[in-house]
Amino acid sequence: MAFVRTSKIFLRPHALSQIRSVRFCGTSERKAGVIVGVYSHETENTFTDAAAHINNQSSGNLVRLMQYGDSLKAGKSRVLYGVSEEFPVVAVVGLGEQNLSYDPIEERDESKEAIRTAVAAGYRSLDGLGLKSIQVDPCGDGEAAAEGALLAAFKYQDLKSKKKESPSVTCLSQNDQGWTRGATFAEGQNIARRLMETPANILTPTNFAQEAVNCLEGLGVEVMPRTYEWAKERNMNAFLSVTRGSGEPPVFLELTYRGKRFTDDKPLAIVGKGVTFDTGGISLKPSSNMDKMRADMGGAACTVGSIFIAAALGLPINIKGFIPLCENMPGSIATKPGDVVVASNGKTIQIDNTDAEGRLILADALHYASQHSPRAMINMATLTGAMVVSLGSGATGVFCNSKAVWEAMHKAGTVTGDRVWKMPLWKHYSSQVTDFGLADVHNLGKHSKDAGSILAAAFLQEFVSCDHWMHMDIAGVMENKDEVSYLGKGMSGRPTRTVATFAELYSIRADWLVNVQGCPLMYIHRFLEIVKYVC
Amino acid sequence: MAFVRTSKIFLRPHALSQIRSVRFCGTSERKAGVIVGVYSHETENTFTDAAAHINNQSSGNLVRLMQYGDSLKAGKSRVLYGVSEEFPVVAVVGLGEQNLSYDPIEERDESKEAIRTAVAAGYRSLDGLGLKSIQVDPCGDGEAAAEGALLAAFKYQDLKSKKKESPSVTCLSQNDQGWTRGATFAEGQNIARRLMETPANILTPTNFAQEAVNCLEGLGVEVMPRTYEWAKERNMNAFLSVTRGSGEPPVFLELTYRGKRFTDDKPLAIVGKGVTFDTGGISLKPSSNMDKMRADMGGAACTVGSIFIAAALGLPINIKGFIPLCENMPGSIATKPGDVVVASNGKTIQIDNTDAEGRLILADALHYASQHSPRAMINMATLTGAMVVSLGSGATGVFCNSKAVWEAMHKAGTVTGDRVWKMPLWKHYSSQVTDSWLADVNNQGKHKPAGGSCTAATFLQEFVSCDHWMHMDIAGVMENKDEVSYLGKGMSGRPTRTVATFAELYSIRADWLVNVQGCPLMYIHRFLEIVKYVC
Repeated sequence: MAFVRTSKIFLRPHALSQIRSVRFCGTSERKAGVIVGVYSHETENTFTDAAAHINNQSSGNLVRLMQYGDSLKAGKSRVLYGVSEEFPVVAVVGLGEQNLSYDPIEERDESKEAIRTAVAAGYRSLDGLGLKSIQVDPCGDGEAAAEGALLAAFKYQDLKSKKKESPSVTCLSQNDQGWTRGATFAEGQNIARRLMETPANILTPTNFAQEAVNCLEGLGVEVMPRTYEWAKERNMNAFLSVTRGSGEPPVFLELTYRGKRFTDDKPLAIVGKGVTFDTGGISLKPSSNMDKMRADMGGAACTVGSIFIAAALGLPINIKGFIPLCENMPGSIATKPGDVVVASNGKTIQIDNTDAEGRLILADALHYASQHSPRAMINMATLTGAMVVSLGSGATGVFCNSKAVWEAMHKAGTVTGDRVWKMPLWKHYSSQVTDFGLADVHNLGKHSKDAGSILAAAFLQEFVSCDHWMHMDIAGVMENKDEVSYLGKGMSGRPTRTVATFAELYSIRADWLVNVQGCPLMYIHRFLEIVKYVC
Repeated sequence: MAFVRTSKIFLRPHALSQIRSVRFCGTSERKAGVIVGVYSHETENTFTDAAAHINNQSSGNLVRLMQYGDSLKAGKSRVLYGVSEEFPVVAVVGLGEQNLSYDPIEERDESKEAIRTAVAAGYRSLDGLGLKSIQVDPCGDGEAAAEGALLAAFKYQDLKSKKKESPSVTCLSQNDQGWTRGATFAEGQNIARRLMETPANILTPTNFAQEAVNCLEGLGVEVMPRTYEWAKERNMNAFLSVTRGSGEPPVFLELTYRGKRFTDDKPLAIVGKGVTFDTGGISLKPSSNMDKMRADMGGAACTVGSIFIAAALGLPINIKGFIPLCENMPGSIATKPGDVVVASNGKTIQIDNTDAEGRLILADALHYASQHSPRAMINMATLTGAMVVSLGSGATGVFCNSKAVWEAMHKAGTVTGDRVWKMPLWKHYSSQVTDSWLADVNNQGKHKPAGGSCTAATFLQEFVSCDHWMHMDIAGVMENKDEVSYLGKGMSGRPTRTVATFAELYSIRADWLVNVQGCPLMYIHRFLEIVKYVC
């Protein structure tokens, strides 16, 4: 076989070199690439419309060049040079079977995921050629294609002296509304990724607040940073107990997005854990991999990212964001294991492990958020190592007291591919937090080596007074090694897109009848698909 | 208040002492106790029928004696002495609110659970009085009452020279069918608990086979122990790789229960992990708490227990049990990390951690079980430490490729109170075990410890060819510390009752129409309740 393959290639070098020489002249100026998809069924490849167009336009060059290899598998990319004058560099990407759809075992839309994966592979295969621009075939779903390309394009190089230039990425077809949406979603997640990657000496609580202003104020989101004194006045002693060991002043950030005509409408509250660095405090963490703790403000970053998306889409709801920001350091007046504090809702908390600090700052934040009588409340936090062991990077573990919120969030995950998995919120666990120790609640729990993430969720529930609340433990999805191919290695910014999609679904649920009028058709199509889940 | 209370008691000593002296004569011979329930609503207690009967029969003594304390809370017990001639010792137990039912957040039947908890508390409060017999109020659900009493009565004292005598436990009302059922379920679980507690030098693979014969053959279950040679012939090299380090010969146990008229009917297969002791092998475990590894045959024990229940109830289905039994020891020819073996289905396995041995013996057992073309296949295994971290002792984590099996098992858990929780079986995880450096699959996930129980489940899936399969990781529920009050401290025998109930539901699903005729009424009532879940 190897021999036959080689001889095939030997048949054409003359023709190829001719074509190439023509193209080189044309492209050295423009340096433009294009990504197009092919479906595969067994050993047959079928072109998307865009690929078929390029094939026609190049007099069948695409088909001819593709024949030199086997049929292209899903998620793989093959770069073809010199296809035509207009499209000199073409990355052909495998979309897998045509007509993929929702898969009940995988619990996600496999079509969208295949497009994201394939387009991202195409982007990577073109990276390093020094192209100035890349045009992307929407592959029948511009939203997914934009997400795949722009999430793959993300690089954190703010701190490199020599920055690599990235090609501009645009859609092959003009005025693709899906592409614009997808680009917005990807940008929101990339904002979260950038914040998470930024080192903790740069992204202090104060600078995080500045970043939130930079990201959000242009979109009309009100960003209100509160000080230590403000928190002290409100008896947020659980929050403040975490910041005691640090020299950096804490900040409590309050974000307000008003997308609703009736401004007194009850908001969706999003609460994010913002520990800009977590050493563990006096219960110091082992030093290996401690650098990752710069991303312990992942919940806060995803809150900013998802509110960014909601504001950019102009969702017709009110959203309030609450972000307690501080460092957890082993300072000279740091909180000590065994200390007891009184949280802002009056409950006493025994702090047996200062490294279980996320739940302390969230306790006060959730209580404060509850006082705004939100219609629904979501919180995101890189809360427990147990969640890493439990679900790894497959899904965000979610704990929920509301069927409606669970179903909408689950649906959102199936659409974005950034899935959630439900975990139990049972008395079995809450009794281990409330019936133990010196105080009303214990920040570890009785059998703390078992079910650590559930005990943490049960702890948070003690500070929530909202019937539609969901806690999302994002510790497992904080970082991407290689599991989600379109994200690449580094901090993931997950589950920003899922929470933003949830907000969108929520905006329909909130008053479906008001919104259905004057809605763009594509929205209504999407809404009809999901309305059975959320209504 | 304390003063008033005291004065109240002072008013009656004379009357009390009189009553007692009469009783003492009567009871020193009989030593009989009784457990009766009371419902509580706010500060009011309401008697069950049995309690009301005793109250009438004792001319209101029960009401009178109960007044000395506050209203009895759910799950608490108060022992009253000298209530009447017939009932000298009465443990009154709190059942909580009347009319409890299925709770969608807790995902269990709260009424049954309240009865189990209360009756168990009653039993414990009478324990140590040296009673010869205890009669139990069925509290409206004899099944739950029997389970509560008999599970609480379990003691493992086979190896104590001086054994404590246990009172006989019977139902207060005659011919309570529910009680008989409940007693069967409790006995099945207690069989599993006894096997799990038994030390590994006593319960070797060979002796486990003997115990299975002792438990099951009387009920008509065929127990067929297979030898090393038999396994070798079938190329069960994954199974045999685990036993290499041990001097104890392995046994592969095949159990056959034929409850079906048509004996060629496809069976329900139950596969149980039977590592009679797990040192970890060359990947030796840390020595702390290693003694618990005598219960690493928990899956095997629960298989025996649940088939015991199925046979005792005479369920109209065929069941096949498959139990690979061996020790995992660091012997002179033990398997070494990095070794590759070929499993019986032809797949090559890279063994990077000899302590991930459960999945190796199950690989061959699941493949062998699949060859019997079961209609559904369940396997139970104390498989991963990650499951302890993930769900603790709250629920068995289950991984399933079949909606029907999941729904029936979930329903079974809500009935027994021994719940299951669904975990993901996604490509995200399977790609982490099939991406092995040397072989087809790796027995350790690529990003260990992230998602450890999910990657273990996807490893097993590689050896399953059955469309209705469920893997139950029971490592978290293996032992009870104090979380489930009616079990007491020790090896738990969970989820025996749930799997037996599943088998019962399955027997209906298998052919609902055949079974509905000639069924006792209580079965039909139960079936109607669940048929919407399983059909």
